[in-house]
Amino acid sequence: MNSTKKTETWNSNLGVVLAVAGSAIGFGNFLRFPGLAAQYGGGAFMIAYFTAFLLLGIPLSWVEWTIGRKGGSLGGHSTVSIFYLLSGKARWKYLGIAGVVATIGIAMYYIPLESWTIGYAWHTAMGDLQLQSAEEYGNFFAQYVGLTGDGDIFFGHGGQLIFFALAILANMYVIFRGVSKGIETFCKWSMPVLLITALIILVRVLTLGTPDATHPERSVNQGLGYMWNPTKTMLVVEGKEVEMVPAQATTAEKTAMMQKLQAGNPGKAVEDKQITLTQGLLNPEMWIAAAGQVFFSLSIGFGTVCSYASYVRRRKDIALSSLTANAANEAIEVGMAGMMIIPAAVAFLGVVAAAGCGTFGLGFNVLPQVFAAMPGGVIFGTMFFFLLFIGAITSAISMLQPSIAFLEEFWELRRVQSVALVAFLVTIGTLLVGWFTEGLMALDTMDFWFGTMFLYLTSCLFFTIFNYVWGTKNGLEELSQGAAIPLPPGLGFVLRWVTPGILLIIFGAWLYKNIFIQLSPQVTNLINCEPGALFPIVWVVMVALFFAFVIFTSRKFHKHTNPDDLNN
Amino acid sequence: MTIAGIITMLLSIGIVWGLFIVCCTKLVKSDKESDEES
Repeated sequence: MNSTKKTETWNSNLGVVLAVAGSAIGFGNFLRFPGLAAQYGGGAFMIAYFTAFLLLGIPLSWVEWTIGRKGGSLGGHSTVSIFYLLSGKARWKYLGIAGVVATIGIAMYYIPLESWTIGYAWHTAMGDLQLQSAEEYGNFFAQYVGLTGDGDIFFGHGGQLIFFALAILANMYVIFRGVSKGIETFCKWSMPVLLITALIILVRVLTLGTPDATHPERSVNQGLGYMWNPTKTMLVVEGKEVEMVPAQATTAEKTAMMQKLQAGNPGKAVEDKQITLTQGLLNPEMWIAAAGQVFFSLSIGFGTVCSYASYVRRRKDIALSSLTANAANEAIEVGMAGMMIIPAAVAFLGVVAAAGCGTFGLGFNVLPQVFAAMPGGVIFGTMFFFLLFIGAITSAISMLQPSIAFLEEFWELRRVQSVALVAFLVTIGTLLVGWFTEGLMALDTMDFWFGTMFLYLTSCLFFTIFNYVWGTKNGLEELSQGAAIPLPPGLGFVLRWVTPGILLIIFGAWLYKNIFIQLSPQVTNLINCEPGALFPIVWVVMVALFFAFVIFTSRKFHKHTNPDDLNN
Repeated sequence: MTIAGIITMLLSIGIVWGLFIVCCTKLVKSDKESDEES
């Protein structure tokens, strides 16, 4: 067997845990989770969420860590080499490209998002986001990210290109420093900073009370209720939640609220919507949403964790490390973001602003309004966008590492060469995403294909390798080596049947919704050859072909290996 | 916020922070032990 020599390892378990947690913590934790929990009613959603965490998140994470560490011990650090080393079949090298392409594809649109966070932090600090109306905030967001037209940000006056360049350089610098000196050191500093920043903002939010006495329904208490109450009554205007009926309100008070709302919205349908625990638990859509949130939030199943775990020493624990990284992600998502974002938005702008406005709408449109109205908002707003920046950069660097490792092992490039090559590939993709910004078409398309579709596919590949190529029993033995915690009984059954089953159900539901019921815009845009959808995808396809060429021309990992030899 | 809402919130936060603290404590201990061994 021909294998590359392992040159780097993590200095400590804590280092890899912080790096994996950093990879997972991002926009989904702070902006997506609170919206979903509020939408489905805190109680029912959290039951589904924790069930998905136990049966999908933790097992899938263990699978990826196990494959990664085993692959690393054999000299592989990307899904391409690791899949080959574990299967002994040359075709798995080409299937493994999926893990490298998915991550570099995600990095191409994650870096522009990262640049938004730096830009918003800067503009908040400079006082540029003290605007007069919701419409002005909407316009600022549209102009800043280029919703107004393709190429607009290249000629805008918001310094977008400078922040773009800064984001690319920051990522490349950390990656260039290497796994231990770069990623580990950066995460060891940045993750505690993220935690402290989040804590400061959380304390500020929880002490806001009722900022405007003329709007008693806009309070932190009401926001927490909207987020966490398992049973609640919402007032809905033409399908959009605009107000929550206080729990102690009488029928007469509720009727009065509806009449007032109707008077303010003449000609529009005003209804009340009951959200209950039982109704939520019987709603399959909510279970799929909760499972999807756990799956995407933990950033597992697409090759970054596998690459990180390949630098863990053979006899070091991975069972507890994986669980700790997941727990850190959950502590930030549920334990902090769950009490921070929605309550702040409701306290200043009411339920109507916080409900159903989507990840970017909440983060870059609603929250700047909240910070502008908050005492000390310039400081807290700047801190918040800085916090998002840390979340974004720790995620983005994890998505670059698999490509770097792949080029280093197959073409035996030095670090500076592999970083330069990946920087070139990513920068072109990033510029395409940055150019085709009208309606955020390029970003949406990339997120649809690489942040969602490929994620399901690569997760399926991980389970196929683990259960059917390598063998569940062998995988479990590997996971238990050096484990600092005992593995739960019945884990083999869960890994072989339950977790893949859940994964297939949510993948099936996603396909049903986006392909079979009605083609999603991201698919139709591609079929119609819209440049904003086509060019970024063509570029990633070219990158994938280039990676296939790298494998084809490489003399590394070219001999077949007997998988049985790997279990010793 | 209702009593049920408070219970849901505290329970959820308790579970995630409890898990995180227990895992971190065990991990730091395990790191120290392996350092001593080496």
